[in-house]
Amino acid sequence: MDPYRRIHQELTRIGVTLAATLPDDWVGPLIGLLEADPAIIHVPVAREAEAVTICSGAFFGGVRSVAVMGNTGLLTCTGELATLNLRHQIPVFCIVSMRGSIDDHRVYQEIQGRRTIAVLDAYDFPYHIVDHPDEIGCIPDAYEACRLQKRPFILFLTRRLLKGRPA
Amino acid sequence: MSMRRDECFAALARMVGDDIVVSTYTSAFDWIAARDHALNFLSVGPMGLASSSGLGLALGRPDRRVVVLDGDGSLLMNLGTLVSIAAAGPRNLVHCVVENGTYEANGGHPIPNRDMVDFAGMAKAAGYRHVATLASLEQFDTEMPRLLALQGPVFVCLKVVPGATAPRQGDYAYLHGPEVRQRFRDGLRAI
Repeated sequence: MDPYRRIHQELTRIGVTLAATLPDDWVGPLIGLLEADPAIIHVPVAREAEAVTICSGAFFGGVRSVAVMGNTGLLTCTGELATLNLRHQIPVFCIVSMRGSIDDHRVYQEIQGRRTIAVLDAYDFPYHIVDHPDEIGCIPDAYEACRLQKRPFILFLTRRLLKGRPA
Repeated sequence: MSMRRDECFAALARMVGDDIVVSTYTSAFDWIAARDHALNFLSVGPMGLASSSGLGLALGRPDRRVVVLDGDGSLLMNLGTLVSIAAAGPRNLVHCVVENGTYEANGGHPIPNRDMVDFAGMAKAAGYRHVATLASLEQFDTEMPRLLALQGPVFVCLKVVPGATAPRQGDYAYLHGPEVRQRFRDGLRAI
């Protein structure tokens, strides 16, 4: 099974019924699966901060949700993750492409690759990197960690996981 | 023409019953004075995202009507929300923008192109099902009940001026306190 289907399967297994998304091309196929799933309310957004906040609102409504975005999008909404989710202890589970790795030969992803983890560490946002299909099974634990810690949690998907080969 | 925000909210409080109401920043002080209720969600922290919180709540609780009291400065910080809400099409969402022409929370500085921006026009162009602009208390009393009853998403621009100072005006420690969010969670669980 391809990694996107495995991730979708895990999200379904843990009861996710709402996904707010803004694609980059690495997470696009996952968003396509979420859109096609009639059991999931899919909310495409215009800005990643919307996705984070929609999931936060849904949390209060008792709904399990996921925000899906690219690495650049994550960097655009760290302020909102801090002042909304960290400040008010609202868990939000984000699935994010881990751009700028050595096998991501896109010069415009360089800064994302070099500084994203440093930024997350500065905010003290927990994260986990999924680099191999065998590790996709960690999603239920990651989701539970997010809920227990009541803060943003970033699950990164690497190029090796999603593409399986160098650029 | 415009109406006093406190008087507008007092009238709204009589109309919304037990609806979920999302308010933000300076409007939140007037709103909690008008309706002290467990189903008040106070959107503070990041500016501009009250409507996104409201969308998440509306999708999470389709059995309840959600009324958002956004600010005009706040909406300008998150204009994409108009398109996202229109696309999601929540039937139970009424998105009000309380237009006073200022970034009130950080000192009352004027918004860009003040008095020229047509917020209801922007919402209509984005694809909201119904839009309206209400500029007097008489108009609000007459029109708002009908707008609340429509299938959403509904957008209502409320043209206001400040009224009396709310009892908790400026009490951001209260707005940010964990008690208000816990009260909201408990209130939602109970319905």
